Amino acid sequence: MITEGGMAIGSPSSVRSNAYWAASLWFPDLAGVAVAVLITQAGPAHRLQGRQGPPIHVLMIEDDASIADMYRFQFEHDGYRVTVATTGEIGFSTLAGVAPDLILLDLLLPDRSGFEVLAALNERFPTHPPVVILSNYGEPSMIDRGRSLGAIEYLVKSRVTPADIARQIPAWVEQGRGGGQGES
Amino acid sequence: MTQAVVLAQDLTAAGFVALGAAIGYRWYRDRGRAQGTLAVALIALAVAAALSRLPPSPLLSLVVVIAFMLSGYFVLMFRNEFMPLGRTFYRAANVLLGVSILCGILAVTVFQHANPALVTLLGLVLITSWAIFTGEPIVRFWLASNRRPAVQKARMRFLSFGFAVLIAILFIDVLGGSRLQSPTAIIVTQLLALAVVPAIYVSLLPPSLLRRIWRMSEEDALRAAMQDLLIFTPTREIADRAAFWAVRLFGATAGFVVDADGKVIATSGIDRDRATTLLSSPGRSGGIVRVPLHLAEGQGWLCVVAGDFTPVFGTDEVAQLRAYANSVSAGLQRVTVTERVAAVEENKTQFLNLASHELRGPVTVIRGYVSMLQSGLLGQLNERGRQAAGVMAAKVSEMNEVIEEMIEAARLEEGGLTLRTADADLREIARSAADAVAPLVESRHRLVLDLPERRVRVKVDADRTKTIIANLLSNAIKYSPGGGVITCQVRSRAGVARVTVSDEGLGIPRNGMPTLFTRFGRVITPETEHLKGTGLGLFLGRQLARMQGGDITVASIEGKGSTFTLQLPAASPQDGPGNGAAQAARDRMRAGAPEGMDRRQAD
Repeated sequence: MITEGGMAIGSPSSVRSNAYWAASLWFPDLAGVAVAVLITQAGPAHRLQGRQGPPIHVLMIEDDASIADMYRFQFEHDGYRVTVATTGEIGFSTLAGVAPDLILLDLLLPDRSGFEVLAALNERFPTHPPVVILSNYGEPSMIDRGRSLGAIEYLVKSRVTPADIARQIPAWVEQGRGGGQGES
Repeated sequence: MTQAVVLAQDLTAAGFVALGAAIGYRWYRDRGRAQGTLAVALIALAVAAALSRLPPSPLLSLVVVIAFMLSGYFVLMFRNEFMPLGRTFYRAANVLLGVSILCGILAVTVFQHANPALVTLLGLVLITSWAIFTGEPIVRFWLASNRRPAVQKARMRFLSFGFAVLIAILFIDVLGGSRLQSPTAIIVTQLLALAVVPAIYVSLLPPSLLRRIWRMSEEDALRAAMQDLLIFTPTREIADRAAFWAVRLFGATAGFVVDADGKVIATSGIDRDRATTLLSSPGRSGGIVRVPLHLAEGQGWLCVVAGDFTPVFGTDEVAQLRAYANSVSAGLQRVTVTERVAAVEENKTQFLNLASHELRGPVTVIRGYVSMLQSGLLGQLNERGRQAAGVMAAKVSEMNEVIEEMIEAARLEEGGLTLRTADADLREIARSAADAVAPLVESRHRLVLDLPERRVRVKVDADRTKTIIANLLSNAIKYSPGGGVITCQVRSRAGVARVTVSDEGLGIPRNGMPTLFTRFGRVITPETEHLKGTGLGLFLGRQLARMQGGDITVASIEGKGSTFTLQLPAASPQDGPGNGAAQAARDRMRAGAPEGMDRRQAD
């Protein structure tokens, strides 16, 4: 399912309500979060100083609703536009329609591994935006693999807070623009 | 001279009679079909030899010819017991027996006084048949002996050699004719024939001394096999090896190992079904010797099946087999224990790995939301709420550390831990470690960072080194509940960089020293039991230090405080990858100081 600003786009409404329910099931106390997000998004108040034009658009490929919602909340609070794709395939179809500025990629996805997604991205979208891997695994071999596939950063989720990530987004976007698509 | 000739002939005949008698007696004591045929062959030969010494008469000659031919025929039948003859070959052998006996009879009766050439021809038919009967088996035995255990090999070769000499003597005798009728020639051939007697005897009834001598060639290999069983063999193959060696050692045809449940767990030279059958009905031909294996689960057996060429086991062999079985028992026990330990270790590592990765997910979310609560992103908290969020943040971060330690420990045990070394300034690393533990320092503690003026160059994994130092510092704080000065001193001397963390805390009791650096090896005393920790920190710290060519050592006085020293090889300014001086310092550190210090402290 693809959700943008808490709303599903380009997919049947049943999918959208599923996403919503999934989120509120995981976090019943945060059922109002999506609304808050809508409100936040209504006024595109980008908080980054000195930045002109539309807000930075982040595509998050992440199947864990609780994590995705948490990140989205922080990112949107910080003025970014966020789209969440819960599988690699949904991520691809999103990319076919919109052009995000940054991709945050989880490695354990229901349909395929994040590495496979990254390899397919390189093949199908040669000019894809910079990719940052966010994973629960921090094995050196996985970090090396991620980097060799062109990810510009590899972070272990439990070691960083949403604010830490949000703070680094502009730099990653810049890095992607300046240095092409990673090092591969 | 004539007397000497007669004596030689009598001696030879007596030798063969004795041989026949010994084999006959042996067969009488321990009946086996194969041994039976060979006994018949040798008894027939003894009869021929004995009767030929009696005053000649046609009837006697007749019996001698028949006995002689039967002796050859039964050697072939002996072979038939091991390697069955084809049907055609078997028939041909029977026909040949008939024809040769007929020729022999003709030679000693009708044509007794005929043309000597004809007599020679008939004699040739006779001994050629005998040579075929005996020659084919002995060539086969000789060839087959190559793949046999040392004892069997020697026995088969002696048997082959004995009959080969007999064939040679017979041909020389018949073909040589009158030229070999001189007394000297007769004495020589008779003595040669006499020499065959012991050869055949030892092949059938080898004395234990000879068996031991034959086995000598296998002793070294056996010793290696024993060692293998006791020390190296890593898996269940040990039972297979035991069966294999038991067979080789005792010249048996087969061997197998039975576990405490009576199940055949390994075989050599026999299939499992047949071994099971033999086990349930022992005492059949060939004999089976079994010696106990003392296993943890109960008594198992090491069984050896004697074959036609295997001497029936004497007391020395059984004693030796028992000794060997003890080694096998010990080896099997060791394998069982090792397997169990390995399985436990493997499970533990897997558990650590799985648990820690599974924990990271929830911790991410809790940590994330707590940080958002603290920052006011989720709404403003009141004073108590902020306090609670602060405590939660601290606890989550503690939890995170435990998870990181568990993952690191699992990675270390799986051998999947790789270091990312680079040039670094140890002062910087110590400083960042001190920053990391700053939140833990309370008002009663004073953390003193004692850094030298000059850079302390090291080539290390900076993140992990920081973790090691931070862990030492947090331990110093944790184990100084009464407060006091905690010093973190960085120094470099003689190619060794040191970070010394000392405190004025509880100290470590003497009996806690040996387990201090082991995994989960926490020192629990009444003063420390309420303090939390995984017992992984020092274990990981030392392992990581050692992986970087250094070590962690400790000196402590209970009640006065502890001093932990992290040593790392210092990189000199011109230090390249293969710098000798730095390497020497590394070696020096590995070989001497740390272990020595440990011992001194632990004593």
